[in-house]
Amino acid sequence: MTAPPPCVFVVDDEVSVRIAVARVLRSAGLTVTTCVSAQEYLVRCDPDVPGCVVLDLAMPGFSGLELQNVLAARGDVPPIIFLTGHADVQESVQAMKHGAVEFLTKPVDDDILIDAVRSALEKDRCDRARRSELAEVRKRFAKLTPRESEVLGYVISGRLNKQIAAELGTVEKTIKVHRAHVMEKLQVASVAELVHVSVRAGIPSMRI
Amino acid sequence: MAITWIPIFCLMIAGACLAVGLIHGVVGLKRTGELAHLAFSVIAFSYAAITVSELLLIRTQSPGEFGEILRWTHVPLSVGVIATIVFVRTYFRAGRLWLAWGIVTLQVLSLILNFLLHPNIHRNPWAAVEEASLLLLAVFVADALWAVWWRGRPGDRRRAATIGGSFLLVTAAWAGASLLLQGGSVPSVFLHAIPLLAVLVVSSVELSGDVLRAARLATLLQKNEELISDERGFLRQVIDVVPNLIFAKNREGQFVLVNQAVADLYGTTVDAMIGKTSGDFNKNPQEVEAFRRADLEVLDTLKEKLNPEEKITDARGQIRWLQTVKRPILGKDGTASLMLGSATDITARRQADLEVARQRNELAHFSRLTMLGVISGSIAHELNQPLAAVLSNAQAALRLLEKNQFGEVHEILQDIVRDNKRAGEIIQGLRLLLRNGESRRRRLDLNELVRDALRLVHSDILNGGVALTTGFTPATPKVEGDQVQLQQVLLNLVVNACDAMAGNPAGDRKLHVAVEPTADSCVEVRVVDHGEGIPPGEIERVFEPFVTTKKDGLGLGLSVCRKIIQSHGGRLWAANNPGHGASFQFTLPASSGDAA
Repeated sequence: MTAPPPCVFVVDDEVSVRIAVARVLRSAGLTVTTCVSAQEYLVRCDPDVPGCVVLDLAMPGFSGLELQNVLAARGDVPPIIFLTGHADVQESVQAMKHGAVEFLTKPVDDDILIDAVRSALEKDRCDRARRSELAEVRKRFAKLTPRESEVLGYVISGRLNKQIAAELGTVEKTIKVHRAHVMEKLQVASVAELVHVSVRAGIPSMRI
Repeated sequence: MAITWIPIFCLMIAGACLAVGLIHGVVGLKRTGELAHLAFSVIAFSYAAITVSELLLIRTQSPGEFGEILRWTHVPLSVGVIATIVFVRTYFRAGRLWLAWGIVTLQVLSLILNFLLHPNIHRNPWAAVEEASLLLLAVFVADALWAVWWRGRPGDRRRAATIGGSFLLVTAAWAGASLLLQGGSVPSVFLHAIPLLAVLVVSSVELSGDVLRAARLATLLQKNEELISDERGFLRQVIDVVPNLIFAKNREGQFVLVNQAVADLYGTTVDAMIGKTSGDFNKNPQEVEAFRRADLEVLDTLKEKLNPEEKITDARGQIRWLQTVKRPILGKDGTASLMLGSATDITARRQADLEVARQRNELAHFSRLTMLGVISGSIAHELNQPLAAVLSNAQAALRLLEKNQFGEVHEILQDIVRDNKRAGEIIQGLRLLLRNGESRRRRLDLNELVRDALRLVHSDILNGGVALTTGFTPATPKVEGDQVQLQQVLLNLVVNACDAMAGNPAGDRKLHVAVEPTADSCVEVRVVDHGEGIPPGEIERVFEPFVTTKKDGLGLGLSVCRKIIQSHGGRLWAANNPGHGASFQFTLPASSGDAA
């Protein structure tokens, strides 16, 4: 299965700017979809299609920042490049805080815009790769029994089998068996690797 | 006994006739044109001659002598008849002309026959010619009197009765006498002479009455002339004391009347101006030409003409402004040969008006600059949009050309041209708003004006989260106005409306702008907001200068707006909406060319 080509959404209520920006991006070989408002974007965007958004800040009804908030609440925020007529410091700070990748002012140079879009697409690609990897790792973690998870917590905290056994009120041998199961289910060969995936999956280590 | 009495009587009558004839002869000669008096004088002389003939006839001894005298008696008789006709025609202005000529012809004929026949026309069939002429004379006089009697002018009936009646009497008497002579009876001097004297006395009294009346009139006239002269002097003083210019000119442009004010303006005297034209005193040919045109227009159209402002260069070469009324003085024939003018010097008032207008413009400009400062961000954004589109379009086109993809380039270039023009229009509009000049009036479409103004604040409206709705009426009449100032008013109202809603929760900031014609030939523009509204007692106060609810406002905006609308002959007012918020609306009179 090949991934669909990334799509750049251009959202601007001003028709001439919207079309001109889309033309620049298309001339760089990018696939572009234009939307006249934030609402239209929400209807047309597909979270499974990779891409980014070139978003006008000031639009009637539903502003760019509001759209960013809505997307953040939904959890899957594509990389957003804000394009605005006048760069208000407060607005730009808020936009960047909420994860915008760029904050460009109109008129924008084609190279700057294209570079920004390319790096946004790259970021989206990385984000998606990381997200799918993470999902894979989480799937593996989900296979662990509660006891195995418990043991994992002690292992990545750096406890010895003997200590874990004492802690859990069992024998060292049992711990060894659990540990082997964990290594197998999480498809890791060493403790170092185990710690690495656990951190990525956000598994908390056991604190004493 | 009778023999001694009759000659005295006859001579007395003849004397009286001569006296009367002499008096009227003198009057007739002295007062040329009074043919009636001359004719009357001739009648009197002829009567005198007839009376003397009568006397001679009585005293004749032989029939031959009698016939000869009778023949010569016809001469004064004919003269008397013709003079009677002339008198009736000239004094009464009556009598049929054909009848008059008929009588004259018959008289002349009878006179000729009289001298051809022997011893005279009497006792001969031809005598009928003379009798017919006398009868016709009686008819002529009677007909003329009848006409005068019914003419109905004052005094006509009395004159007809007295003079005409007596003439009729004498004519009848002559006719009778002629018949008696024909019949061979002894001619009676009483039959001829007494009616003659009677008619002379009566007519003379009547005519003398006319002379007396004329003399009285002359006295009266002289008195009136003195009175008129006094009146004229008085009126002269009145018009000279008036500070306004008063003048009258004839069709040739010559002054026939000027007052002191006109003479003072031209640095001359009233007398020196009479008979001269404006060009003799005014050194500005254009003004003279304009005056002349206006004068002739008034004389030709016969209509009064008001010139609310006209220029005149005075003797010192300084320009003065006049408000002038010119009206034709109509003659009896309905045309005008004189034009009467009156002009008020409005120079000082005009200067004051200009100063007020200048200050108003200055204030409007100042207020406009303040307002432009407020919306400058929006304007910059509005200008930025097409510039951004132009840049991106141009760069896209360059990239496509580098790749030899020409398909879309044409379309892109068209878009570039369009956006460039749009930016140009915005700058043009801005330049207008920034300009500080005299107010310039022209016909404006308020729909267009409102649309342009809204475009300038588009960005502010967006950033303020305001939902704008508009209501334009397509066939709205145009108005006469200053584009810049009216746009200023509208921008002010829109910016105020947006500010009024800044505290509203997002989604409750609704602005409605509408343009529509009213029933009374005006155009109304309404700006309806959804803000807090105006506190009830403050509705009129918001238009006072330096009254503001804003922290950074001077409070001049609305007071200037109201002044602008008032100077356009319109009205600007505010009202709270039934539900929420306030409405500011103004009306402007529709331009006359467009009035429905």
